[in-house]
Amino acid sequence: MYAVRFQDLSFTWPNGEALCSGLDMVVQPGEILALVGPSGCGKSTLLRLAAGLLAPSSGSVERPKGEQAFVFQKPTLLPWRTLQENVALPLELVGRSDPAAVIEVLELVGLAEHATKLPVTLSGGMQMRASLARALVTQPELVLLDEAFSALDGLTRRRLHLAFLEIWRAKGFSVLMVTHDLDEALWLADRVVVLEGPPVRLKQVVQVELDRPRAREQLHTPAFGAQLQGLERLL
Amino acid sequence: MSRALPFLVALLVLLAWWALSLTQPEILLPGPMQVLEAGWTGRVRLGTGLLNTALSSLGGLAIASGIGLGGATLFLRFSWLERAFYPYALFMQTVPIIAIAPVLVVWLGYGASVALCTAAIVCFFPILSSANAGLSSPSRSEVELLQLYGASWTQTLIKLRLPRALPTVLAGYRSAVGLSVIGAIVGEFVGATGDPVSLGYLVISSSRSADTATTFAAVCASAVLAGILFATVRAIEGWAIGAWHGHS
Ligand SMILES: Nc1ncnc2c1ncn2[C@@H]1O[C@H](COP(=O)(O)OP(=O)(O)OP(=O)(O)O)[C@@H](O)[C@H]1O
Ligand SMILES: [Mg+2]
Repeated sequence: MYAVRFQDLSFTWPNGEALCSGLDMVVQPGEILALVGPSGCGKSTLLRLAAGLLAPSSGSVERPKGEQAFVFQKPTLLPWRTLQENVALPLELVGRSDPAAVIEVLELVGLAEHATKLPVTLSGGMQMRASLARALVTQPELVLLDEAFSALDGLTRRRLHLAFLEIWRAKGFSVLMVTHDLDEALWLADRVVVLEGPPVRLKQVVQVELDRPRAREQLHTPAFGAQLQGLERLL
Repeated sequence: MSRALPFLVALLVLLAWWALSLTQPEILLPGPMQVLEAGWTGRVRLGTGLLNTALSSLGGLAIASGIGLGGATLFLRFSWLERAFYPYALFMQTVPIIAIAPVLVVWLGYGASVALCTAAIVCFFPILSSANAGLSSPSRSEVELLQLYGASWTQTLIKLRLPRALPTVLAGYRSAVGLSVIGAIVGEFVGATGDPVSLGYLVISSSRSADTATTFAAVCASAVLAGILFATVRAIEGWAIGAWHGHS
């Protein structure tokens, strides 16, 4: 069983540069897998391959049937639509209408009372939460996050991390996330994959030794500090 | 205070015009009062002329919109069409309209259809190019978001590209409406018979009979027409995109 599986995956850009060749990687069902690596090594492109937005040049990307969702670094809300219309977009595109589901996910991210507002009237953190709500509205089995938290200030980011972990625990989807923040990778993930490149290669896979559900105090334990140092040395 | 500034400028210009007109014979430079008087005396002809020129401008805008917006949508759908035709659209833009107008008279004969065509020709390009740019303005992640949920080409057009294009297209219309009035008047200079009467015809005929005050009145009327069209576009902008555009 797997949520996503890269098998002998190669991808070459139209200009002939190779993004990766012969890459193997598996996201287990229900796990949070974080990708970290230097800027430009190919993390976002791997996510887009996982989502099927790009087709591999050779090898395969396998996903079991089921809904998936992508959260971009920027909220990517359509500014002419209210929050609830934005959240309803994925349903609308497949001809569904489910106002109850829209309100439910907006409640999940704490935005229910802002449902009828336009994105421009909301803060960056609120827009990001709306973007998360939109990702969750189709009940995805796989959620792909591309530096989804990185544009937020520290406090907002911590709050959204906790909210995200709670939703993840309740819904049980799998997560493949890209981040450049090692703290964030350790704090959220079950496994952290350290990448190098380009062309992108797996440098090391780190099993995160923190209990779940995670609590803020764990951030200050020696075990966390040791893992963080280990990761820092790898990069 | 800053709101009053434009009015202050207008007042100063009027004053300067009035002062200057006192030093010149009326046939060279009529004063504001003489122009108002000529406008009042010829109000029926001026009004009818304004209406007919407005019809040519709006008709030209409509034709240019059909071709420009339709063309931009086709360019988006079939990029080879864009590569094949865009250079010629650009080239057509560089041909002076005053040179095309006599050819149009040869083809269409004298009458309002010449003005309709010149209006359409001059405002076609800003509409085409703004729609072309606007339709491809969505960011990569916006396009990918829709792609991710299996949106069809038509869904992407309606739910993403068209609304995204609105600010750019309306900015294009801001220049297109002014151009359409210019185009219509040039067409009337060359092709109008005076029946029906139009602003371009009034400008030409009154200047030939040295009725400079009427010429000025007709010029003012055409400025009023362009102003009304411009204000209409601004109003549409406020209504259609004011709530979400330009905030972030
Ligand atoms: N269209 C393209 N043609 C050729 N090379 C490309 C193209 N798009 C991206 N690349 C290259 O692919 C590599 C990976 O890009 P990608 O955006 O996946 O990196 P990333 O790891 O997400 O970087 P960052 O951390 O800065 O977001 C980069 O080196 C980039 O130069
Ligand atoms: Mg990236």
